[in-house]
Amino acid sequence: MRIAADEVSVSLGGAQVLDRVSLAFEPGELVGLIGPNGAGKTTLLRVLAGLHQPDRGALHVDGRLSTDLIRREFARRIAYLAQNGRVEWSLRVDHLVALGRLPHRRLFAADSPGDERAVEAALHATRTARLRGRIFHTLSGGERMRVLLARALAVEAEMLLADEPTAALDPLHQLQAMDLLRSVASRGAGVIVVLHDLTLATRYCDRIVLLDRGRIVLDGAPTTLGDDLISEIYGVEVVRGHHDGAPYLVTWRTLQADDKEEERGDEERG
Amino acid sequence: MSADAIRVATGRSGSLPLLFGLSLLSVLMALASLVIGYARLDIVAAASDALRGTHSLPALVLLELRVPRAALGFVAGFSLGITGAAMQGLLRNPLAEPGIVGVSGGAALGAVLVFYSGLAGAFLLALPLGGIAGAILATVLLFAVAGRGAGTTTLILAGIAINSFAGALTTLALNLSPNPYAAFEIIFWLMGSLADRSLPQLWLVLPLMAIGWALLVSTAPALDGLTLGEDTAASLGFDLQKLRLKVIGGAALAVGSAVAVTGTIGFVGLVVPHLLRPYVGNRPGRLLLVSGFGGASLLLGADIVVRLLPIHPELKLGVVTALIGAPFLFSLVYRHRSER
Repeated sequence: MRIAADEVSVSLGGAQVLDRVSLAFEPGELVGLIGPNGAGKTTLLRVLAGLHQPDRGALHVDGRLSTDLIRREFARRIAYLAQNGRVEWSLRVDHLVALGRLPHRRLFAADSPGDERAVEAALHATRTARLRGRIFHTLSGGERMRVLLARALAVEAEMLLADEPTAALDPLHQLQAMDLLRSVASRGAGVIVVLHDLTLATRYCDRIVLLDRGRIVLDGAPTTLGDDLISEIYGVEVVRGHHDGAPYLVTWRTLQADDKEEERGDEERG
Repeated sequence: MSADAIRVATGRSGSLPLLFGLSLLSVLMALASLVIGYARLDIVAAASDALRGTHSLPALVLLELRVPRAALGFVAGFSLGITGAAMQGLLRNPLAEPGIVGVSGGAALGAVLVFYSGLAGAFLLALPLGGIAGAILATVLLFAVAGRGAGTTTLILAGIAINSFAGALTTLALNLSPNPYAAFEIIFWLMGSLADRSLPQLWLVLPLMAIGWALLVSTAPALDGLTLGEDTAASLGFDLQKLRLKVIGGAALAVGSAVAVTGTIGFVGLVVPHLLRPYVGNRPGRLLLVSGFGGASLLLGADIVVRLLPIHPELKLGVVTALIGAPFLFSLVYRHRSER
């Protein structure tokens, strides 16, 4: 499956959040969506997930207009993992993960063997199988994130959109989450993930999309993300190196921090 | 099969025995409501007379007094319970009650205006028709005020506004009531009761309630999805706009017609879903039918208590449910406090 944003523009409360963004995503690709706070990453992800209709421009799924697709079909094909996902009632972990099967289920139909298999696979992939009988709200932050990720995986969609799935995780679970997203992509699904951590983004992703103030500044392999661009957009200096034959980068220190903050101050949108 | 797999399997079907048990309980309560009353009634003789079409006194008591009371208790309780569960699921708030969006306030006002205008005595169904008209008007007003594509918060705000406006108009009607007797009648009716209702009233509201129940039950998967928040629910293929329409439309039909016949009966729709939630694993979709039967059992039970108490005049049902419900809320606050 291929999803493409075509000249998408969005404004929220009078502010231009996305400005003529055109992008296409292919199956089997792990794409990191990066950019400073307020760059429009979450809004772009919501547009791609069909949760926000663009003011101008269109979204195409396999060449068809997304608005022509039946809601349930869209939901079966594209899974969305929200940022700081909240769960309103104290559900048991296996019940929560099974919610990912809702787009596949008819009203009042019992779980099909396919549903149970998908839930089991998602629990095992995220290493949450042993938590299945626990109540979600009794879990640690890292466990919660993995359970929510399992819920998204249980959809067995062709495209997974994840908004900062590593934000609440410790280093071990961050790496495990990225390994997991990597393996989802290598099994053929497309994965688009919003990340703040440039080290993780450049190490794991096949492709980096850098947004700044609603525009695409860069769309290419992680190696094309240059020091000048990072310092211009983020106002930070990076350190680069090689380990095990692979390049890495680490954000090191701020550049003219005060100027950058001031300049950004007006642009911020929560 | 591993222990985990067994636990999962029993967990998933876990709400079925509860549903069966509560539906059985509500039927038993309805039967008890037929048997228990002020007059001693040989229920078997009365039933056989009624079936043969003999107009004996026991048959009349059964058909004209006991059956409407038990049947209305069942359907009104079911409506309050299922709507409370659906509202709490939609608003993701355990303190939401069926009338929060203004439908019961509207229904009460409609019925009060029928009293006020003196139409209540004109024909048998004037009162429930007025109540239903009030509920429909309140719902139309709700969507007109909240606007197209309104979010949950806007709907609650509009509902509160409509509720207080309807309440103000109700007290205005009391204030301006032509004679003390009319005011008395309105106040007593507002307290809520199942006494002295008739079968035609049941036939009037039953189809409306049934449509309401069907609408509410059809929202079960979407309410489950909503557990993960509005964005994720939408990403699972649910149209939230349609969901809000269904829940509020269902509430208007179910609770609006219940209030139109029984007057306002509080707390059942709030307390029942809350009590039953842990037994369905906190899943909002599974809570709907269970709360319906739970509500029917509770309301019928309270109505039996009202008749057994040696207090005259008979306590109004709405007063009794409030007397039971309010301490429950206190205990809820206390539990909530100690959990922190």
